[in-house]
Amino acid sequence: MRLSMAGNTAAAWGFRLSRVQCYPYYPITPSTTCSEQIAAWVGNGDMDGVVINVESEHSAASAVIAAAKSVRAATATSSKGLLYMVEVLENGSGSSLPFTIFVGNRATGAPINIWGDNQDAYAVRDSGLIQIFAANAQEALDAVIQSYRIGEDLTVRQPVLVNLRGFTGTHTYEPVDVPSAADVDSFLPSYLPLEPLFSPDQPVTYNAMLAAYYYRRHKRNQTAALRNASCVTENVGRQFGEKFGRSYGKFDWIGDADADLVVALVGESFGAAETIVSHLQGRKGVGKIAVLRVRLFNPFPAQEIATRIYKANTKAVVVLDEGLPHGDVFPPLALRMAAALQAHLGTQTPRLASVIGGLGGSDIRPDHFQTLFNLAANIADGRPYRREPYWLDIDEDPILLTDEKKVDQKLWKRYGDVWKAQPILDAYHKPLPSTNYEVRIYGRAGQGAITSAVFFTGAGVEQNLWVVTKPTFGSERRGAVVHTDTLIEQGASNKTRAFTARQDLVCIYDDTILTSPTHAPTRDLKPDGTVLVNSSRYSPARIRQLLGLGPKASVFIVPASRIAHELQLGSFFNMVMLGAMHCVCPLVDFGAAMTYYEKNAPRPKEANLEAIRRGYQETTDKELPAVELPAVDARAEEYFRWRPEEESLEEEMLRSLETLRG
Amino acid sequence: MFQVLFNSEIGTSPHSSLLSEPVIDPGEYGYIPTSGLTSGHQGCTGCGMVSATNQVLRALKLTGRYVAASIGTGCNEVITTQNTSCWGKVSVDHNNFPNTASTLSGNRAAYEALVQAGLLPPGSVVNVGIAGDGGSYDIGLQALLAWIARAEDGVYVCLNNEAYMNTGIQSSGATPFGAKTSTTPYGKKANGNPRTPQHLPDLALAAGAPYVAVASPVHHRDLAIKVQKAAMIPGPCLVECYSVCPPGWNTETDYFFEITRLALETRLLILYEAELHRKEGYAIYTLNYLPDRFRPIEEYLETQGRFKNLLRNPEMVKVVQRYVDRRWAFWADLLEHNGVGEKVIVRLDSVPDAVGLPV
Ligand SMILES: Cc1ncc(C[n+]2csc(CCOP(=O)(O)OP(=O)(O)O)c2C)c(N)n1
Ligand code: SF4
Ligand SMILES: [Mg+2]
Repeated sequence: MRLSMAGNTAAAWGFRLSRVQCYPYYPITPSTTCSEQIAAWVGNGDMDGVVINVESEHSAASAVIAAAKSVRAATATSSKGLLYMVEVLENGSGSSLPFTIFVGNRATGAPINIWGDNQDAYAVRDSGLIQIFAANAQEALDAVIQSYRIGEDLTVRQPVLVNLRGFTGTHTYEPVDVPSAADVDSFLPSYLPLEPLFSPDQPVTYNAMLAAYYYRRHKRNQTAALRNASCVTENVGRQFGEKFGRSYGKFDWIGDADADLVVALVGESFGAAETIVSHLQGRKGVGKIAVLRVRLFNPFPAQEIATRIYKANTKAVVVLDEGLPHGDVFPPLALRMAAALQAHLGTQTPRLASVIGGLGGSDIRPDHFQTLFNLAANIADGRPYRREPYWLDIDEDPILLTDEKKVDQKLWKRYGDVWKAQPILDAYHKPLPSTNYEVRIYGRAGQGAITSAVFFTGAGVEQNLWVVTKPTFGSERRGAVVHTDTLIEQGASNKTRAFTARQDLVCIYDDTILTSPTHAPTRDLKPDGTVLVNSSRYSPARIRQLLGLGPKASVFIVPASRIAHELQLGSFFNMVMLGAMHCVCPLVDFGAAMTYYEKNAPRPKEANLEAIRRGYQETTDKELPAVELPAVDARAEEYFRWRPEEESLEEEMLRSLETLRG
Repeated sequence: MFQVLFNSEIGTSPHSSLLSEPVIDPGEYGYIPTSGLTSGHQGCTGCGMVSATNQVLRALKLTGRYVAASIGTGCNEVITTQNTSCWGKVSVDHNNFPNTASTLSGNRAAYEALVQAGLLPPGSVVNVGIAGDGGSYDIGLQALLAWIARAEDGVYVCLNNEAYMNTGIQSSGATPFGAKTSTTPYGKKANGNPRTPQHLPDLALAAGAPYVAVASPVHHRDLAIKVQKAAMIPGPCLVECYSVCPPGWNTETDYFFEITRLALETRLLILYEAELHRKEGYAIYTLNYLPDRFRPIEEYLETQGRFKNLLRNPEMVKVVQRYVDRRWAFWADLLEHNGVGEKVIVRLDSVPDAVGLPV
């Protein structure tokens, strides 16, 4: 069954299909919706199991570990939540208890930041858990199911973290194949606790105090069990492939088999890297290239990776880390790669550079990998390079030099020669053609822009199209400007997740955004793109003028707010915009989509379906008959302009206090 | 543990039996021009806690001391500090989600060390902790009760919007019975939030806080006086602010005032304060607001989408009414002792008998 869903929901499906029996949880962005989905299923009777609404992650982890002695258990968390679990996590690994935690990877702060990077997973790499990094929603679902086979294997019996990057992974809606319950049941047998707690015939003592002699032997066994997970992961991944048609290993190698230049990474950025490899591979002036994507981060498949690199006779490896070294030689992945290569290849070790990027939700775009392969080519060429990590997207400290004047002067003294010796190789920077249809929706938080994009995606996926929607989340509250991107793949199906950020269609849900200089909503519109605006006061011609659009662009308007009002939907006009989107974007068949909406439209169903129909019909590139706008009260305007800092209240306060105190 | 000493006052007074001087009475409309938050916060329209924080800061400034705020992760922190600070001339220490009260401890200790070293004058700073209900009733409760147990000086303000709003409306220990949140759904096997909320001021008083109060940002004078008392009374004092949240409660944005009024008139929200005379072993309770007539709880529930499903189930509504009545029974006794009880307490016909549902 192929459905459109976000990464968190996919992970929740993994737990549901694994028949998880106990699920304590505590909310934290960006993994919360996984737990919400489970709570909803259990509440609706769709999933058997006991959920516990605990009061902290410390308790969530404690409850999971307690339950894992008897039943199959799970939870989900992120960032500080995972760190808050650390104290108890090792009780799971030290007591040989299999369970799974889904982590929506997020920065750890301070400063507080809710967006994606891998620092949380990196921070618990010493807690003894198996760690798998998924690259997309499908992989998250599959990895959760496999995690129980791996963790519960008799030679392993260890807890597993399944990682997926926050937001770009956890909140991106994409097509996911959901296996049938029966198939999963035949792949994953029910849980067998080895030392059950509730065993009157054979009482057990967990976590007894062991002095040095027993302690070191116990830890040695634990270490061996974790190591065993390496080949078990390989076997389980292969068997999964035999059953479900999607096989997995410890790592992927995408590109030339004998690549001289390798970029190594974990997680969701793999999508963008893959796109660049297929774009650059075999081009004139481009060396042999590959992406090494590490899926099993713990236990690290050191020997296998070293062997693969040795076979390819690789010259240069550039490692991308979405996390920090915190004083170490390299950040964690680069450190492991360097150690693995050095330990196994000795003098044959290829050159290795480390790059830090994607921190706190910083983009990792396809073009970044063009820079990284260029760097690798220079390094392979024997040019000087840095032995400490490079940084992505720091203007005054670029990886490759474009403008000497922009560079930090102190850094110039140190790295000037390195920069000068690192040429920009044009062949690597050939722009990625935009062959897919990209839509961007601008709205205000609370207007349901994301919901309509999600519906659109759902309808597309049901028509067997490859449609991906990536909402951009801030910590915005109602009213702030938000946007979401949707991609519809055209031509060959590569199941891409990489956006080129050049739009064919821009939908603007609120015509006050038209004039917002901070958002410039059509900045990345293709010259022959389309703009669709919810407005009953601006004509298409005026909008063209306001946005400074060229002659090839088309402009459409739909009075969505007015239509919603007429249908007594209050301020919920997003379904009208959904219909309007179908009118201007013919790639998703409207008739077929309507059948999908008839099944899924939100309540009040009839009104919303009518809203979609009217949006479709009433979208126009003509001027609308003028409407009278309510006048704004001058006093209200003045009030809204007032800002507290404008008056020196502090002084006024002191004065009045003096009066009061006499 | 301790006895309740009945208080004959109803209404807010700037006097406290724990203070030699009254605090500043800002007058009926709370109008004293002090500055609270500066502009640029990203809170939703109609957010109760923005107004509450604003007034708390203004009230604290009335004490004439420098305000150092320790704030817990949550809406309040996120909407006032993103890439900037809306705290004007207040120093802000956002530490984490579970540790607002421990952060207060560290700051107070550092302050005392600086006083000992002669670098700061004594009594020149007020240390205030501000956190949400999730940060106070749940993950931060351990730190909060331990801070009270250590009897350290400071003010703790809980902005209670009755759920984890910052992460998208999940239920907390303060979420009302039967409310729909994203972790307490309605379904074949679930009827919204299955538990009745705890009450933080009770817990704090039992733990030994010298002063606890419940306030609402709609009642400016009441709030300002309570916050000042909490700042002036030595020891760990707690003020809980009832904070309306339009998206979390599923209401229109301009209902702030009406919802608060109905909360008071149904007695779901009780504005009161309690002072603990620990050595003597008694507490003095003061009711600050007594509604003219009591309304049935439905009238409050009907204002909010989160109770839509609850309202379809009369048995569950009765549970809420019973919860309200049980809490009010304490005040009914107190009023009766003060000789006002019989006059004002109109027993509602709708008050049900116990019906074997969990409370
Ligand atoms: C250890 C930890 N767990 C979870 C979170 C995620 N988190 C941040 S704010 C928040 C909810 C805040 O709820 P509340 O305290 O009621 O404040 P509100 O947002 O409702 O004002 C949560 C769960 C976190 N920051 N740290
Ligand atoms: S979600 Fe609620 S508490 Fe948070 S800013 Fe909006 S109204 Fe305020
Ligand atoms: Mg809250």
